Amino acid sequence: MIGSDGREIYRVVWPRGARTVQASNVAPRLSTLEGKTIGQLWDDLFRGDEIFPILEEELSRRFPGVRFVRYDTFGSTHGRHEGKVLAELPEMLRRHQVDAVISGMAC
Amino acid sequence: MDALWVLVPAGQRASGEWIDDTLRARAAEKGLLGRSPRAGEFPRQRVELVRGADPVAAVNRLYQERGWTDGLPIVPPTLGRIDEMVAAGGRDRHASLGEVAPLAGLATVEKIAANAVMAGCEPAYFPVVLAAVEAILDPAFNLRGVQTTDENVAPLLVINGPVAARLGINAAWGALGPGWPANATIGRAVRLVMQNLGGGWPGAVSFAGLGQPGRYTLCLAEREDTPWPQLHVELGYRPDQSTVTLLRAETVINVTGGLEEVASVMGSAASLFGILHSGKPAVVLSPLTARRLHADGWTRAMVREALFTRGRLDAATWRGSWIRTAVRASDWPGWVSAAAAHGSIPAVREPDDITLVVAGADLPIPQHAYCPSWGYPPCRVTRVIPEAGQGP
Amino acid sequence: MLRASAVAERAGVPTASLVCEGFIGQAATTSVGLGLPGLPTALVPGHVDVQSPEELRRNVAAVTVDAVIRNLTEAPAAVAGAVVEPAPGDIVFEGTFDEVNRYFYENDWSDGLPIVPPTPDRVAEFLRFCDRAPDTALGVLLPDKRRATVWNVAVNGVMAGCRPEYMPILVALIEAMADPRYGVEHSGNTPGAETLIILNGPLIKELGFNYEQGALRDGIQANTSIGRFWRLYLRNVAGFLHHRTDKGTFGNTWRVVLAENEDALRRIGWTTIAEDEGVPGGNAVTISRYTGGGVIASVFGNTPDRMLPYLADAIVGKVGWELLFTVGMGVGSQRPLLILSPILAETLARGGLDKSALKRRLFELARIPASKLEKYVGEWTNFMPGRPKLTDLVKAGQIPAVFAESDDPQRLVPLVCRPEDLMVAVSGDPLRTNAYAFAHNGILGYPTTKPVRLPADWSRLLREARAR
Repeated sequence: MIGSDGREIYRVVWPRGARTVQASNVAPRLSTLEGKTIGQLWDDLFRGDEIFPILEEELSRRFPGVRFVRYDTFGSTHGRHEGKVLAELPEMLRRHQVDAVISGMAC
Repeated sequence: MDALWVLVPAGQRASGEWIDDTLRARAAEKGLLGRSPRAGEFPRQRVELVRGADPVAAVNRLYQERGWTDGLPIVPPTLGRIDEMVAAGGRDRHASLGEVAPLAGLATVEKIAANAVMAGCEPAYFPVVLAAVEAILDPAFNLRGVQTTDENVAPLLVINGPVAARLGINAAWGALGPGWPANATIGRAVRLVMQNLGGGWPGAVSFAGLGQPGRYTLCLAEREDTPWPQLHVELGYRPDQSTVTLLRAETVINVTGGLEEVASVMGSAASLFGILHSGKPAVVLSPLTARRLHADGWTRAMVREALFTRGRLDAATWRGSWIRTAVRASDWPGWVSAAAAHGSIPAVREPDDITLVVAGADLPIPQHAYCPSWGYPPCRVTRVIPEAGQGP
Repeated sequence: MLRASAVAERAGVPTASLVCEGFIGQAATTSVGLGLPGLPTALVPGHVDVQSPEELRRNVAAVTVDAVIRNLTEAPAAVAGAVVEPAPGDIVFEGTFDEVNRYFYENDWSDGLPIVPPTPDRVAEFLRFCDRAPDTALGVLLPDKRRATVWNVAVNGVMAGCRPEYMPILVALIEAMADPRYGVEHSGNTPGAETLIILNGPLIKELGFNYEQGALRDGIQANTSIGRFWRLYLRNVAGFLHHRTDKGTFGNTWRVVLAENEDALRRIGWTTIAEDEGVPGGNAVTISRYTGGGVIASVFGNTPDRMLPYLADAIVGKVGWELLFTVGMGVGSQRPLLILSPILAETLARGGLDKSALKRRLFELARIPASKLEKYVGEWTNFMPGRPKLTDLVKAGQIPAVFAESDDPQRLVPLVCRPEDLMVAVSGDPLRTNAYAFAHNGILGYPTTKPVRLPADWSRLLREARAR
């Protein structure tokens, strides 16, 4: 197609693909951490093994009744077993009666 | 035939939705499409090419019809101008400062820049704009409330520190009026961000019955040449730091006279809504008054104390007021009821809740201003403005 | 890591995701693709790798704890509604060549070089070379969770400067990209490794791929434009963008397609890469992600015994931190690639080696001290928590016994778990004694092979295309 100034005009299409997810809301939050069970999920990277104990200590100080299910219970969330770990995660969370999760490390 | 490459300044949520879809629907419901007949009609991409014999006029017409202006002409947010603006801000253009309530458009640095260009900001003003946007996104500012209330509240920006002189942010003659590009455009940029990224469209989402002129811009600096320490130093910042402090100003009430007159206006119906939420109002004091008080041994704290003590609303006025009957007794703060039992209610819960700003011309007949606070939670949000060339 | 949070949220369990400062932008963008744009994150200030234990404790206690509590107890803003985007045939823009290019670049749809404007006519030409309907879904790609279709493969093929007759290869490539085995979602990771596409089959000659001198260099349309197509597709449909979902520290750019020299392979009776990967006979593409590599120049010697020590040592020299994928993350997923020029392959074959034997010999020779391997995944990178010794991992049954034949830290251990993990291809200048070795990104870009399906009318279509 030739435009008014003599240069060719191109009519072009979109190069992307359709989104397949509709955004959804996250799970309901807790009113407090007191008396709750917190599961730890770790991808074995970036010093989570140092950070999770610090969080445990600090959170226990503020919420004396909080308890933790440690990351080695669930397996690494990144790596060879990622698919398996994630597939089993909902059942594992149920089995251990986990109320909330702290998941790391995105670095 | 000419063309302008512009960045689409409208808000896009984290989900990828454009807030204009919601805005168009709301405007249509309220019969307000007359203001923005082309609401939602724009390429849903990052940039747009606007062609025409007079592309600046074309952009203005398009943007007005899409609901993206404040009614005044805007500067087209061309990609080149936005590059300059972003460069002056010291942050990555894709960084998001957060979601702008109520419609949650992402306040990315480049979208803020687009709105700052539209407002007419110089690139040098951009760090101030960014700091102000950070402040309004602070949960304490309650932007959702400010955007949607039926009251006419506007954000009040108070600038302190070396940046004011460097950028020419006026603290003296007509500091709250027109004529000063920095005051005018910085406040305007914040308004455009609220409107275009947050969706605060008048009538459609913002239900303010009247609005107020401060919704175009309400931005000033504090006088640096008074004997008192500056507001930001009082708030704990270093004198060599620059800050922007955001308050929610229900309106601007001119007060001519001295402290008594300021106290009198504070102790009136003007403060009724403010005391409901233990709000933090602003008092803009004339520099002449400040100097006289200082010469008489007054500190800023003493001025606040005096206004707290003398700026009292008669309990009977409170009891007979519309708002007293509209709001449940149990919803009034304990300090208000307790004070009322003693006959009069201060305009604030405690003296420190008064934000004192020294500004205006050196006139023999002092002109002050009282800006009652709106809404909850009590709000005085300050952010540091980084030096040129530094990031946040 | 955010994927794990998304699973928990969908199971009804609120999460707090620990995110280092430099990652916040990518986390927010990635969450959108997971369908959870409101996924709350808890900031860990700075980057943990450069903090002393005391600093880390201070930062976590001062900032992260509060954020975690907020994440778990405060509702993030609700998100809902549909996103309206262009349909496949919609014209999104009209303009001159320069204007189209600027529009595409400013919308993040281009790689910074001029693209060929994707007009419906040009797209239609590509579609003729595929028997499947344009809206056929080839898969869904992370991080954006957008649908890969025959149509958008064609659009990006046009843009990259491919010829329409390359379309069957492009489709196969995207089928591979969408295969979970490959792991496209890792393509924006910090080390920034880049894919190499290896082509096998008669298409090499039919479409004029270069498989001789300069096999890895730009200059030949088929090899070059398809390499470019790959990265454009990662950008436009997978959704990897600079400073957002792409976090590669440096990254690389597209590699040209490597076509094997199948004449040479047939002459010496060696298998092709596709055959090695279980897709025998005919046209196939293999994708794999390599962290880097280098030339092995002047391989001297007329027998395997003289040549192999140098080749083995060169592979050892290219592989370092990637050993994580041998013993740690995705155990046994490290698959280094050795490319031999035909003359080197012929010499080795004349010395009695087929590919299996060659790999066995290299497995024996390409070794490093156990303590060095442990440094690569422990002391130097902190990849493996607790800095396990190889002897511990063998004892725990996680890696093969070959890694702990004794306790001696100087004992030599292999780079891979099994000889078959090594990959060997034949290409490059047939008469020059150079080889090339690539280190591999393990499960974060695992070798994936797909057959290339040709349209029923291929011969006629190809003839017409060549006649133009």
